[in-house]
Amino acid sequence: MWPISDQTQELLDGAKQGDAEAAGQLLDRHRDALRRMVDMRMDRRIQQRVDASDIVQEVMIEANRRLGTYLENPVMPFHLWLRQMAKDRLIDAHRRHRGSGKRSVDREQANVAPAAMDRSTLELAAQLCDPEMTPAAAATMQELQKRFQAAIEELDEHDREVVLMRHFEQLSNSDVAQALGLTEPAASMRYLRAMRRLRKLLGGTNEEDDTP
Amino acid sequence: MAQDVNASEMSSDERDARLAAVLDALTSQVAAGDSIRWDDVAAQHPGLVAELKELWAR
Repeated sequence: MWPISDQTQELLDGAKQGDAEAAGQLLDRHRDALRRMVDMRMDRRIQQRVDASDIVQEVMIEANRRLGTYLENPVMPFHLWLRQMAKDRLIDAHRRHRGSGKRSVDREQANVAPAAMDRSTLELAAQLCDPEMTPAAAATMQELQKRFQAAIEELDEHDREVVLMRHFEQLSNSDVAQALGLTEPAASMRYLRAMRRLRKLLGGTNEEDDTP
Repeated sequence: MAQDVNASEMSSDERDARLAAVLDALTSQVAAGDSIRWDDVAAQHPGLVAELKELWAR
C-alpha cells in the first residue's frame, strides 16, 4: 500500500538538495496511501463531521512545513513519519467529536465501524483464505466478509491496529515495531496474538491463553 | 526461514516466538504477491505448520 521504493529515496535525496519539485512529488505519491490509512481509522460517526480529505490535506501541509527538519534527521522511514502525523490528527479529531458535549457524536449514533472497513475486510478475508478458491468457496465470500467485519470490530484496539497495519496497510513487522514503539519480536508476537484472537472470533478451533 | 530442528522440545514461549517469526515471514510473502507453498512450510516447520494453516484458514 505505501509507496516504499528506490524512487522514494531518490525524491528524498532531491528534496534534501532543495529540489522543490522532488518534495512535491514525494508528498503527492504518499497521498493515496495516507487517505486510505485515515479512512480505515475514522469511524462513521466521526466521518459525518470530519472529512478524511481535510485530515490528509492538513498532514500534507504540516509535512511540507516540517520536511526540512525531517530530512536533516530522519528518525523513521518517511511513510511512518507521515502516518504518525495522520495518527495524531485522527486522535485529535476523535477526541474533539467524541467528547462530552451535548452534540457529541456518541449521542448521535451508535455505529462505530470504521468507514473503510466494508471494502477492506473483503481483502483481508481473501488474504486469509486459499487464493485458488473454488467457485463455491468464492460464493461464500460475501458471508465471510460480514463475519470478518464483525470479528475485526470485536478485536480490542491493540489487536485491531496490528491487523490493520499488517494486512491493510501491508506494513512490515519492522515498520509496525517502529510505529508502535516495540521491539521486532514483540511486534511479531502482538501480531500472532491478534491473529489467534481473530481466528477464534471467526470460529476457529485454536486454543490460546487470553492473558495479554 | 530456518528449519525447526526440534519443535516438539521447544518451550511454549519459544514455540510462540518461532511461530510469530514464521507467521511474519509468510504474511510478508503474501504481501509481496507470492503464494504460500505449504509443502515447503511443512518441511521446514513440521511442528508449527498445523497452527499456521489454521491461522490461514487452510
